[in-house]
Amino acid sequence: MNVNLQPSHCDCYTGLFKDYTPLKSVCDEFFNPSMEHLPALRTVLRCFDQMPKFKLLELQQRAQELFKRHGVTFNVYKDSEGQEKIFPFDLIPRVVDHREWDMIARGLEQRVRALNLFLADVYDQQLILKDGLLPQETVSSSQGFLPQLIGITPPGGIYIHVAGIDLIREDAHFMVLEDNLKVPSGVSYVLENRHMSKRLLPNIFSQIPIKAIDDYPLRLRHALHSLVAATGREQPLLVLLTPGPYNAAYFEHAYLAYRMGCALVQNHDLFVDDDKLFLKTHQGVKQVDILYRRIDDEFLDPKVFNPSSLLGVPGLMQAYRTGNVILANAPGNGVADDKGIYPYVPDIIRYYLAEDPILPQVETFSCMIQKQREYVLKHLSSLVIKVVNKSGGDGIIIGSQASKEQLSKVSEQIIANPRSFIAQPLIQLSTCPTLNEENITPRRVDLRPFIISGKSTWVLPGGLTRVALVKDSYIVNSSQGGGSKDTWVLGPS
Amino acid sequence: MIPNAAQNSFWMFRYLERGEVAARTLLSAHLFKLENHALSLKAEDILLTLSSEKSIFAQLYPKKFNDNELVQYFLTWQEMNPSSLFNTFKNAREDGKLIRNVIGKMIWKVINELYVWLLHPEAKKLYDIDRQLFYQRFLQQSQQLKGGFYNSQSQDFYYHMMELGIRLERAYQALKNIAYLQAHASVQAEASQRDALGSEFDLTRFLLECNACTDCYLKMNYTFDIQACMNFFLFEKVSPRSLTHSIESLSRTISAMRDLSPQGFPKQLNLALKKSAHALALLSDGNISSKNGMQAQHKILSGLNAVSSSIEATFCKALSICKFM
Repeated sequence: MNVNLQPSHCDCYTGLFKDYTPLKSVCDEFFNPSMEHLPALRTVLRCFDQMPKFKLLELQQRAQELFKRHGVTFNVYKDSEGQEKIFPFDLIPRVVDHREWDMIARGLEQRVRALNLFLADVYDQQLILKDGLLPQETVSSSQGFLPQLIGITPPGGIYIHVAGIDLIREDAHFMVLEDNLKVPSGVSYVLENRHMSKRLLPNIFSQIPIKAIDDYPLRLRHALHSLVAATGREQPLLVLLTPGPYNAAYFEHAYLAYRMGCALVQNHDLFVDDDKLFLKTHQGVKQVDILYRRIDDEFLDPKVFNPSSLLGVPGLMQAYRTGNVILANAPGNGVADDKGIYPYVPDIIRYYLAEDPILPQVETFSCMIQKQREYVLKHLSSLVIKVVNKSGGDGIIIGSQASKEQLSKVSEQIIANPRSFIAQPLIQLSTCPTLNEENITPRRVDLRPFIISGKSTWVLPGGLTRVALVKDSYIVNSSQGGGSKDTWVLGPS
Repeated sequence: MIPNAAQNSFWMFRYLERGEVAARTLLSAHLFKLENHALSLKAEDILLTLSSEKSIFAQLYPKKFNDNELVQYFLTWQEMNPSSLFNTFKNAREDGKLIRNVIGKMIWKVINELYVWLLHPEAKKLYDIDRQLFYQRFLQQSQQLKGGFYNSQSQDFYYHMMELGIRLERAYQALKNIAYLQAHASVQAEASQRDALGSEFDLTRFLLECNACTDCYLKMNYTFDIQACMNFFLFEKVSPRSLTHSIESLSRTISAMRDLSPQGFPKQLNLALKKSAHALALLSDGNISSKNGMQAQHKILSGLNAVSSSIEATFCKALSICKFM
């Protein structure tokens, strides 16, 4: 289902966009090759075009300073200095028209609903496997599949409380690149980016209707509380479990805990007794009803998963099993966002919802399937090879940019362990005008919207637009030099 | 105690508290307005109602109720508006000027610098280009002033007069919020089709932000609906902005003043506060919007008014005695 949003306006740019030239054969978020734009973008473009360049540079500089001053940072594990870094922010936003956004939101809601049903099935009757829609091995060999959880149904049947689904745009249409259903991160930067945009560009905000996103933490809190309401506990206790200040996303953990009004805890603040999870406080122990955990499944409970985990709470899974605590997100979600399962998601949507997927996704070759593997091995130099269990851009090989040695090595690895690899054609990620040093140039972007599910589902109008700051780069991940932009969903005026 | 100085102490901190709430309200409205919230459509009306100066605005700018810029200007700069941010800080500074020896060098410096800055074109320029920072500056200065007050003042009669000013202003503010929520609840009841997390959610969130209560509200596990928010502003003992907390603090302050000066302490002050406290005790979750509840709220308000006039009367009495002496 596509929304007809053809560029129809062509204004004469004399300011910031005077020298801007979109990349050839690549979709640009603002302009088509003739520098035409969507009518809805007119005011935004005019405001930026009229801004003197020195002013934009000054504001950009101020944004970085304010981020530093406010401590909006992330940690990079690989960095030998182990320093906190500022997530580079580009003041020129990505803009999405509300008609297009409505379609995206419906598509995301549909996808999350289907994946939730998939999880419920996979951890219960496994009808989808019995019906032969998905090879049994695809699920059983997934690192994210936790057989220990078979037969456990979380309250309200909700597995995916928070989802971050990566979207890209090619040929003017959004499509899904990746699902993040375990502990998706990045929403704090979405909120901070918006805060910064409002701070530095109030005049633009006052001219166009931009959909509000600042209630995300309260929406999440409300969604999680709504699941406890069914149990009859009137004053549910919600806590956020962090691995600690050395975690890459610690800023986000602290930020969300503050904005959601819940305690930020580490494992030593919690214990399990009588199959219930308790928080140690100065007023005595208190039973925890909802644990918004920001640690991976394998570290959650050393009694059940990784016995050497120092981050988890012994006995937590038993408390979860008996329904005494809600874990958000539910453990075991990794099977649904496994890159090996991804190629089957359109079929999953059709199977559970009897609907066609609203959002298309990137064509993907599963190296598990012999025919597809053969195709991949033949066309390595034109494909993007991804390791199934890695994230953050790790392990990605872009065939056209790889050396012969790299391709030959990855070929051997695929043959040795086909389940661990998928391949996709190289997608020309859309570009967005981005300030680079003193010029505005096209840079590739993706988009991670966030979806919250409780009793109902809500899609944050916007998301984290990540931008590859390096020329010709396709890698937008923060750990590999990417930056971010605010995402403006224009409401109807 | 010198009656004049006591009066200035009381009013300086009452104005400061009023100014702080006004600055936070204007900042919250500005931020809400920038994004496309359901509430932003009627932000001007909320601002004018909460300021209690709607009639002056109507006189100055007839039929301009929807002009957001004008409303912001009126509440920030307009000298004809006694509750404008400019006037509240100006009045606080005027009172402070008369009791420089009481408030000390640091507090005087902060309030004076803020006033001098307000007169400078730089302030108007900042208001135009970065309104967020403009209002934040007021809030920072106000926090600094209160921090200085609590850290450096000896707990004498003046200190208690300042405390009375802050607490009384907060009690009035709580009543104002409750009245606004009540008015909104009746409108909301008619629009039964609305999204449960729609304007009701935005309104409670907005009022909490204006009063710096969001953290407390979340920690005490309140839900974002009008009834819960009214309960919070009425009864929540943990929140320094609730009516219960304010009245209890007023009572403690009055007791402390009585201990300091049993002879000179006016009985009517205590009696007036008791009137409010008794009326508050008549209220409960279930009857806030009932006839009895409304009567109780009127009694609370008249009790607070009596506290305020009793304080004024005390000063006048003391002043007239001084004159005759």
